[in-house]
Amino acid sequence: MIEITSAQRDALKEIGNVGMSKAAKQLSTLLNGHIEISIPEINLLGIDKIHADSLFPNDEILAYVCQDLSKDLVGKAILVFHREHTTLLTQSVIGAAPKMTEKEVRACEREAMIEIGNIIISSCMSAIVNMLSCEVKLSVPKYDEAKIGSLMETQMKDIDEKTSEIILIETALDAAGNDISGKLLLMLTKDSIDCLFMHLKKLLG
Amino acid sequence: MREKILIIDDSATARALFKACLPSGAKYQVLEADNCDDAVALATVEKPFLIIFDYNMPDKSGAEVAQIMREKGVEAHFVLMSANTQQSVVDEVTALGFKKVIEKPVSSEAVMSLLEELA
Repeated sequence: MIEITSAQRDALKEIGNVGMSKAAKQLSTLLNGHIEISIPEINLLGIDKIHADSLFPNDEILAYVCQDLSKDLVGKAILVFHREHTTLLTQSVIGAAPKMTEKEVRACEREAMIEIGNIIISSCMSAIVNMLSCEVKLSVPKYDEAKIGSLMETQMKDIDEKTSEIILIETALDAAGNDISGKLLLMLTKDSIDCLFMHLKKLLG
Repeated sequence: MREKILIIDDSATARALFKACLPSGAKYQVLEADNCDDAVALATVEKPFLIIFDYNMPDKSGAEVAQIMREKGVEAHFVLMSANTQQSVVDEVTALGFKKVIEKPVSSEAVMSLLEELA
């Protein structure tokens, strides 16, 4: 397990703050209103902790948007929401549409979640790239729903190289009293975690 | 005498990055605060010519700290340095008389341009 120093934590927190703030700015345009944003919490967690921790209840169906990372940082960026928040988010984006069928509503929900997920993940990754002077390519975002165990199993399967740590960025986003917070999991290969910390060291001089 | 700049940000990294963007040489003395109370105390005692505020901070927002300083009669150029540049935030600080908003991550060019404008 990598030991994270207070200076590294502070730097990651600042990068998370920049990323989430830029996401809030874009979301405020999309949702046409002010977005309240909290100071992000940054944690480096062991993969096993994701199951053991009470971050996500084991039996809850979660909604998530996932993007593959390549180039300097290889792995996955996964933005996880409580399933009930997706309806709220969708309404915020598309407004109330009472004449839609359930199938149409679900399709819109996926579209809205992908759009919001893409904004948040891209903003955070841009902050990492800009502040650490590295290069990261993002794949097209995908939306899915699963319990945490299945989610982790599916996503881990796609990462060739074994990894043991996940960087967790948690920020509360609030749009006019509606909690639209998600948890961003950065699941990186071991080499990429080393690369990230090398760039952090350079940033901190 | 060196001109004083106060930077208020809860992140030591953000403060360090700002300082790294200042022109080399000893023209400026940088004062730092990571919370509202220290910031207000430094601003009233040290009387910096420029105060750089972060927006998202744990105890009070940059705009709230600025409001307190204005009420205490602090006279300085107020500048917001934040990634949170939503129109509502820009409007809020503009109403408080902020001179400029610099977007994070900060660059040397942005800091140089600010200092030239204020010179």
